[in-house]
Amino acid sequence: MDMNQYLGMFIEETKDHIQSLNDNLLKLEDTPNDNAIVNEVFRSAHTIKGMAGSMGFTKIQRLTHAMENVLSAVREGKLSINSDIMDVLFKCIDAIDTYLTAIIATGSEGSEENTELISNLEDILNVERNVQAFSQNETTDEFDEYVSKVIDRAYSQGYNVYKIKVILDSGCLLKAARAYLVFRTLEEYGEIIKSVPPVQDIEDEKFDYDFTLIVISRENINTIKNKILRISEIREVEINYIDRSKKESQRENIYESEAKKEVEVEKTKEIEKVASQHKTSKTVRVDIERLDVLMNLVSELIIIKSRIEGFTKQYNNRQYEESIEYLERITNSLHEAVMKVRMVPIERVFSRFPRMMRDLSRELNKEFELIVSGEDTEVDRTIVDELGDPLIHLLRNSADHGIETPEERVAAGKPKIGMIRISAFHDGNNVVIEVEDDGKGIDLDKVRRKAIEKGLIKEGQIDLTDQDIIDLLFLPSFSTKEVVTNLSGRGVGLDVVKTKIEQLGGVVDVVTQKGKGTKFSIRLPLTLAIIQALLIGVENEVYAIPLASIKEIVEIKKEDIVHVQGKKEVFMLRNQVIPIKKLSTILELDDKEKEKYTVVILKRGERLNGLIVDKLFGQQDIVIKSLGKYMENVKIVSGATILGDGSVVMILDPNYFNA
Amino acid sequence: MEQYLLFKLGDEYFGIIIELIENIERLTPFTRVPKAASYIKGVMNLRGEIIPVIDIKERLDLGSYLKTEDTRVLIINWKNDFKVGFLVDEVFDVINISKDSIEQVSKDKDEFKWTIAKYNHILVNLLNVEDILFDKIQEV
Repeated sequence: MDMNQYLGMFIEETKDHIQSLNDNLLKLEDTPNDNAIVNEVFRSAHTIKGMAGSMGFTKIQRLTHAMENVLSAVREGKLSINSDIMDVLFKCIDAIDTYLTAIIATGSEGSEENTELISNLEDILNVERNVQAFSQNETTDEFDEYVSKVIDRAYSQGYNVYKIKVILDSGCLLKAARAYLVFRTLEEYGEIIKSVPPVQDIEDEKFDYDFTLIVISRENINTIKNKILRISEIREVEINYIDRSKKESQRENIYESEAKKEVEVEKTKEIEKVASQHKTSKTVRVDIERLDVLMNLVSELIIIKSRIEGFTKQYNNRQYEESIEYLERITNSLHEAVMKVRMVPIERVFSRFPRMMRDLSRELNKEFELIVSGEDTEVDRTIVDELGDPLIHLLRNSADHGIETPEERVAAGKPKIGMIRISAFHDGNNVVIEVEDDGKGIDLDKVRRKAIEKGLIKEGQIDLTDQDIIDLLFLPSFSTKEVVTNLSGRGVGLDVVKTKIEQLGGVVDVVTQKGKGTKFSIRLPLTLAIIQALLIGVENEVYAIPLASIKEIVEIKKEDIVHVQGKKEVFMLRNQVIPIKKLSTILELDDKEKEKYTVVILKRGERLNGLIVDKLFGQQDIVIKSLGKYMENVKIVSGATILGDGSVVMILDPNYFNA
Repeated sequence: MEQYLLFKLGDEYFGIIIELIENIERLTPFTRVPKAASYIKGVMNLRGEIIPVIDIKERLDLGSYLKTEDTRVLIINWKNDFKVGFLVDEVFDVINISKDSIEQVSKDKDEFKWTIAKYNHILVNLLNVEDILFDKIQEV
């Protein structure tokens, strides 16, 4: 059988499960007694085991199997979560992740056996078994009120009550089926009143190789034992009478157990909730390339629509116009629908941060809390996939450079535990992601000194605003931390973040306050494919400027332009000095002196820049097309678009003019 | 035997190995790309795809292209990585050239590796497309 077609699915789903394992283990660390979470973790491990098994990845299968054993012990209450177990489980996830990375790269899981990890897991179980051996009689005969009542009545009516432990053969393949046969056999001779693990779990094969049943029957021990042993693949059957006297002491615990029951009821409710959540999200996995094809077709449709619109004006026929309007509505809805399909919650990226920050906090010996909000904000899939690295960088930056050591924080009169917040929200046609910390802020003097040291600015240069100094941080390989840690100082600076975000058509801004903290905001277009743009003319060329980066358009007179510092040209707009450039000069075209100029004001965060253009042609939805790899190093344009008449128009990159 | 597309730049005959050529297009209006190398004349719209157009005559220091009825654009597909269009003055035929009729005439330090082949009575310059696409001097 050709497994390749399933490999992609295996990788995607395993990724999801690794993520969910990470999330749930973090939750479990906070609430170690929550069985609903243990169930979730168990389920993920179980699913990975099953999938790995069918794909022939035996090492993953072995590891997850060992995890499952520990988890099922936890679930049955034989084992309680402690930090050692958590650490081992986290290591297991990392190991699975490493296997998966190897599978993605080479198609095979590699040679690492992770025997140490597996024996760690086994050790946990062995410790638990020894403890359990001592306390077996006390613990396993505990029944809740219902069961004890039934047992009481059974005895009074002359029935026997047995505790039957069935151990299946370790080579047994269809465990649930064997268990079913055991159940059916027993039901012929009596009634099963309790099962550990619960029947549902046994049906789902969520048990190791043994299960324990409490059975009421008139038959004697040997008959029952023989009946069960007749079923194949059963290794052993242990049957004991349930001692009546034991239950007397049990009674005293009734109040307690009632209280427990309430908790349990709540837990089952939670489990039901979780289960229903799983049921409601019916999804289809679609290859992103297929969506791209669909998107391209929609783009073509939008282009041809604008072209037909051009004709309509000539014909001047009402019916024709109405149909075109209808066509426009349909194409718009179609466009929106396709866009929505491509949108995924930013959770995809955010979800791996809590784990990362937990490790980071240990590594740096700093205490901070990560607050995540707006995970459900939806962004184009292609953007989401690219966001991981820049955000990790910013978060590490906050933890490493921003947050002070606990001692420093206390000395500065701040809460001992620092705060790092990552949030996402929509703002018009943009999505904004903020990474904020309440650390020490950026030391602008230090940045200035460092910049002089590195020869980026001159010693006596005083005309730099705070904003200019912050911008220096984004220059290649700039690091202000004096001690190089293994987090930052690996030659990857904020410039990488900036480059990546700009490639995605976004901008990065920084607000910092000494002693109070720093906030990085990333502003990105919702989608990379279709944007609103202003078409402008210079000489006889037409260009498009993304509307999102235009603040306003003004007309100014020739004498409004003032020369400063020799060459720079600026003009005043409502008491604000705005640098101004002629687009014709930048584009190496003729520039003519005119009496009046049309100025497009570009905004980037707080910064404004004026761009003189010749003509305005109005705004339009444009489909962004890449210029292709060959033209990658042309920075002034971010792409091109095809207008209704088939002509190609360059899209100017606003970042080029803001630099 | 290898197959080459025979075309003309000015008065000289040139050949490009046929595997690289996706198709041959008539010249359509193209749009200038500011700040790009001067031999990149702009980009054209090839059925919805944006294709950079290179004046290989200028690239090879043989003057610059002339717009005539015969001008064609050779669409080159470079290893499925990207596509570019080469402006040529006139396109002829696909020709077979045997390996032993090819002769290297350039020196090692030259930017372009010139190889020449004899085909019937004419001399054909066989172009190394990689040299044209990637400006090694600029990259250093």
